[in-house]
Amino acid sequence: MRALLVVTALAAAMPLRAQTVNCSSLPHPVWLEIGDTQEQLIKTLGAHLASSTAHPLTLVYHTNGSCTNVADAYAQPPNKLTVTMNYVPAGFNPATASPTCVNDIAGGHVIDVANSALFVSSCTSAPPKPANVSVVQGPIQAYTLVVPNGSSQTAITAEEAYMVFGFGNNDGFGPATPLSPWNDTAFMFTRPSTKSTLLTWVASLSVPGSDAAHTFTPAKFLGTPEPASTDVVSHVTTSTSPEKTIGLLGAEVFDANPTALKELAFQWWGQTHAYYPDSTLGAHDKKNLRDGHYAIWSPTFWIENLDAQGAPANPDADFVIQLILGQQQTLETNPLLDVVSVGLVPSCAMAVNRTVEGGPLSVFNPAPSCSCFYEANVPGGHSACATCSATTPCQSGTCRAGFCEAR
Amino acid sequence: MKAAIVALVLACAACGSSNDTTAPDSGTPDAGVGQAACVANPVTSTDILNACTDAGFVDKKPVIPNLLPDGGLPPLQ
Repeated sequence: MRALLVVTALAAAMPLRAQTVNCSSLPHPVWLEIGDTQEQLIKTLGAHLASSTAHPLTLVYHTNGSCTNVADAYAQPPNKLTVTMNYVPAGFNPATASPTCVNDIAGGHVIDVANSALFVSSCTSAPPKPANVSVVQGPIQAYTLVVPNGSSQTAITAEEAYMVFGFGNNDGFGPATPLSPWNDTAFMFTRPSTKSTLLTWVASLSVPGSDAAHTFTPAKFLGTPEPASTDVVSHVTTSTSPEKTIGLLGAEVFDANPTALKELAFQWWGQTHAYYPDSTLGAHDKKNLRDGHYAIWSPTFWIENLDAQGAPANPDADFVIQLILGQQQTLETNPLLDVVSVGLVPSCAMAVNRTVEGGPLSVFNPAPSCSCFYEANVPGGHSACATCSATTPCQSGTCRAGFCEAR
Repeated sequence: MKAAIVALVLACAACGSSNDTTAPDSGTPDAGVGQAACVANPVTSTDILNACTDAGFVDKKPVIPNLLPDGGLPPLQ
């Protein structure tokens, strides 16, 4: 009896061994290959899908560079997912790391949904788009430059950034230019050449309308490439030379680390002032991005396979994409809330558009619009729009999700 | 002479702050106030970038070394 008690006590004291989960055992799986800027969206949306009774799904995902994802989806035959996968179970807290499953699918699993966090046309090494693949534009992703909290810098212009990332140690900046202290590639933290964060900056810092000599390529973009956004955050926050330090991030990564980093306002080519993505530093409204005062952004793109008739090959994969686009409202929660909560901007909340990476902006009037809904639901947000309901119609505009939207 | 002074004052007001960027020249609550020649009805991309806004901004006029003799940016290496 005593021996049994000792054994029981020892067993109770030992840490629980992590349970091994085979991916094949997950209920209603949809397999995705996404950019790491979109992981928070997939974790947040996935938690709602896993707990849904209306349309339960398990999102099984792997993060990779956007252009790698496009190339995998466009390959003929398409490349399959053979690596260890992450998945989002019911009851999952999106603020935590997602669990992994053993990829026990013989030969790997088809990519149901592939994602690019920049214009697919920027992925110049990807194969041509096959006819049996659909690509749709999704929410808008902002990119930003950050410095340590210990830095005195508050803004950077396109001309400065061109010199910093184009010439590095030889950019001519230094003690004589205290407003532009970035002159050491060891303290310039960038991303690898397949990542949307780097490619968006590559396009945005190339001189518009100029020749190839003034056009960045990933190879010409100097700095220290970091494999993950979290590595950029770590290196920037712990830098031994804060004034010289600068890093590239998706804006949502900065939003998640607002006290550890300082975001730089950015002044693009032809602009007279520098602006943050948001109306002020610390806000989450992406006002300047949405109205065109902050130009460093790209749409996300979502790719799925089609059958011989041109219909979605996997209806569940199409369902997930429609949720992300806000076109599908049959879940228990509004999926646009997930999009908004992770720092993405639905296209329906934009007032400007562009058609190519780093290209010129144009006025955009989406129909239907969702600016009121967006502004009311960002963290700390509020909307000045009139509210409405079935019994309280709008005096002008269209009643949608409780607000009188312009269109 | 008076007209010239007025024009000079207006021109300076439209320049924003000088090279000092250590303290952000934040935008004011009134649309366009404090903004250099903001565009009221934007059409082109440059118009949009410089449209009137009540959002905060930072005014920065950096000195770029190593410019070409014509003032252009040097070609990338």
